[in-house]
Amino acid sequence: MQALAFDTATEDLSIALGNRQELLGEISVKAGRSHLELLLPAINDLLGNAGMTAAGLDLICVGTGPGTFSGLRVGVATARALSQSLETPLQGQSSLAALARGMADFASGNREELLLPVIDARRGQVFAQLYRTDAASVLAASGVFCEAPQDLIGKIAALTDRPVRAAGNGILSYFALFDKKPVQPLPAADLRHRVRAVYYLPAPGLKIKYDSHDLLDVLPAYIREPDADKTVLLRKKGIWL
Amino acid sequence: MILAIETSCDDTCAAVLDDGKLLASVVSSQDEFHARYGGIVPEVASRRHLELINPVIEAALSEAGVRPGQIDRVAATTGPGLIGALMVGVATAKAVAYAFKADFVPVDHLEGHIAANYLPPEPLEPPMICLIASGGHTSIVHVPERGSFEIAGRTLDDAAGEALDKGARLLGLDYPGGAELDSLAAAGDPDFTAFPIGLDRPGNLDFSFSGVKTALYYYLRKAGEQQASSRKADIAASYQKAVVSALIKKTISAAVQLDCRQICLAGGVSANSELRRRLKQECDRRDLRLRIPPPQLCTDNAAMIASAARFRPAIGYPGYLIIGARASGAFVP
Ligand SMILES: [Zn+2]
Repeated sequence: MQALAFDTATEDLSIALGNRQELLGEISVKAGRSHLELLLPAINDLLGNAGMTAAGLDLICVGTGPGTFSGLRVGVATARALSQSLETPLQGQSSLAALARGMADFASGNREELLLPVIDARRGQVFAQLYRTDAASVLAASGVFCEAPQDLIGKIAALTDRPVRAAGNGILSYFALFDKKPVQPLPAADLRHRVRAVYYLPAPGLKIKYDSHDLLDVLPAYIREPDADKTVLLRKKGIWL
Repeated sequence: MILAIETSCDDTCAAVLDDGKLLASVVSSQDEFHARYGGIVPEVASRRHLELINPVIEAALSEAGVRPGQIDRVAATTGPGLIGALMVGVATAKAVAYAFKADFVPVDHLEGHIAANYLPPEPLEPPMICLIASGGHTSIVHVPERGSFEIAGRTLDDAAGEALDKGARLLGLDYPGGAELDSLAAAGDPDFTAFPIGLDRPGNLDFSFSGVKTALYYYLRKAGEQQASSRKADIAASYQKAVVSALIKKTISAAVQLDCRQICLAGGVSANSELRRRLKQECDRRDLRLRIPPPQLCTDNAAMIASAARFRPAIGYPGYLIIGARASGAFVP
């Protein structure tokens, strides 16, 4: 079982190849807003380095965010088109869950601590979700928040008094604001602030069949509604004239 | 065999073209989604494109009856257009080309509109002057030969279709009201009142529609509700006349200036009955040949993108992997 996984929810592009037991390769690129230009070349490099072609994949996994809308769409469109054209099974997974899995220390046995992955939502907001850990995985302990950082801290404090470990590019964007009880951000230099595609890779034995209808359900988790007032094309000038 | 994808505005389109023979052209319109906002919301358009693009491709391939292995070129509109919408189409098209081991052809949206004229039932051979008028663009282009074009004139503000839609809206018609304005105007007197024609100077091939729109706004304000509603058809006809006259005057003038005997239309506004009727008259009077493609090839579609891709060099693996999309600007092949 060889899977290709990628995430485009943030300015860091992350791609991984293999399965949970054997990682064949991993690429991470500072993509900024250039996901469209950089994603397919990186996929091609990763497959080439492993001596594989896209046709040899058993599964495609894509991060569905939440995150930047256009980045997510590039990732999901690429994943859906590859899946459809190659008839390879497709899986969409939460980018927040991937961040949480990267933060979790399954060995420590500290089940008291909660995890708070935070992704920058721009316009002064962040996406976040609480997770708890069990022996081998992370489990969502809240819905997805889309809030200003201060409001998020208030909501988390109202929900729990357990220690909350936080990471993600949303933390880095508002570091000083988040350094406040009960939230404990990982140090700014910690690599676990990045979404890594390796956390989407499946168990080696997983078997999924391709279904052309299933792939239609793989869509970005936008969370936020389109901002119609600001973007209506016909109202771009003057009194709507 | 070419598979083409077009997502530059609010229609999700895919088509299959085999050596000039159109095997399938699928268009999934998003009109109903945008109507409730009274215009196109780019973020809404991008989201819908992503939902629709794979079923639209599947429909085109199955309608054409081709196996994926037969596709050796994948083409997509890379601009100009709404950037988020374009990105969905380009990301999809590149991944399909990669999966099928096909070449990729980036296509300029305007060149696509021009190339609609190379499709059956009556393929046209340049040189020609092409008026491209839609809700998103208004340009006069000179096409000396297939695969190349020069822009002779363009709008400096609104597109012609945008001007018609906005006029319709001022008259109380629902978005997109261009077509309704057209039928309302048919019952009215186009000489009821005179609205200004933008940049109406000899030799000027550019357009400006903001003046006529503003003139209508102030006309309606001054006329008051009762007059505006009792003479609605006359006002609609007069307004439409001003917009259409600008298109006709400048198109004919381009043909004369560039000594070109053929004129063709492209874009959704070519469905306007007043434009078709009067442009035909003008062309007949001057012994110019006028060609108007069937309506489904005038509005945005992927068949025209496939047609343009026939006359553009394809980019092979791995060169196309890094291609992006652009909202505007000059076309770099
Ligand atoms: Zn168009």
